[in-house]
Amino acid sequence: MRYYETLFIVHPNYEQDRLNSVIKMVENRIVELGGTLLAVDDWGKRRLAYPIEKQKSGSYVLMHFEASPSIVIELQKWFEIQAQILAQLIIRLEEKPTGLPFRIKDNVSETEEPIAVSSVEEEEDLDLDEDDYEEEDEEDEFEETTSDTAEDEEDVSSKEIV
Amino acid sequence: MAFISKKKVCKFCENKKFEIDYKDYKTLRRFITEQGKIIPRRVTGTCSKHQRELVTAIKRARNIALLPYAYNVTQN
Repeated sequence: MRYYETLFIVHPNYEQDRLNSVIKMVENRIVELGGTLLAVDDWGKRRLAYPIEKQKSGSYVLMHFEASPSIVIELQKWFEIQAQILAQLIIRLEEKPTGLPFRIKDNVSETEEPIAVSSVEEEEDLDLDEDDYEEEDEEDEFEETTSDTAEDEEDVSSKEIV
Repeated sequence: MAFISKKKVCKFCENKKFEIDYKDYKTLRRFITEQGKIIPRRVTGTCSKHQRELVTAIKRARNIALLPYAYNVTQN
């Protein structure tokens, strides 16, 4: 038995009760195939990064479950057949998932995430780098070769061979 | 030497408790260009181990429409 995580997108026309029935259906399917559900998390309706089946939004649902590897392909095939599910992703988890599933908070996360604290500074850095990284690289190489020739001729020749 | 490059440190090595996750697209977005391409690690300074994880995470996020494969410049 292994731990898996699945994230799937339900068609935006399915709301409230109908969405719940779709989630129930997926849950039942996982149990039917011999898996054990660990957690279900409904992210709610979100904008998609790109349209899928002409839809610009969809409801994301995350599930954690425990199952044997053979059912993953079955589940994937089944997902593909379902018209109300736009996209799906099943990944294996190395460890047993702990606590509540990860959730993206659209408004809050910017300030809450530990890495986001340095985001402004980092972004500036990235922008700078992006703008003139090609130039920078050239300079770097140039310097390396010149300093090497000045100091060690052997080193340069070995580098060239490599 | 006239040219002194700033030492880049891997963001994920610095912050050990932070894990790379495909669902955390807000963080991943900082490692893609305006066009949606993955930024090479020589630019971001990410170590090779974390860059590999980052790449799989970005690709997973693209698959499930959390991140775009490419931003359409003309439309935006």
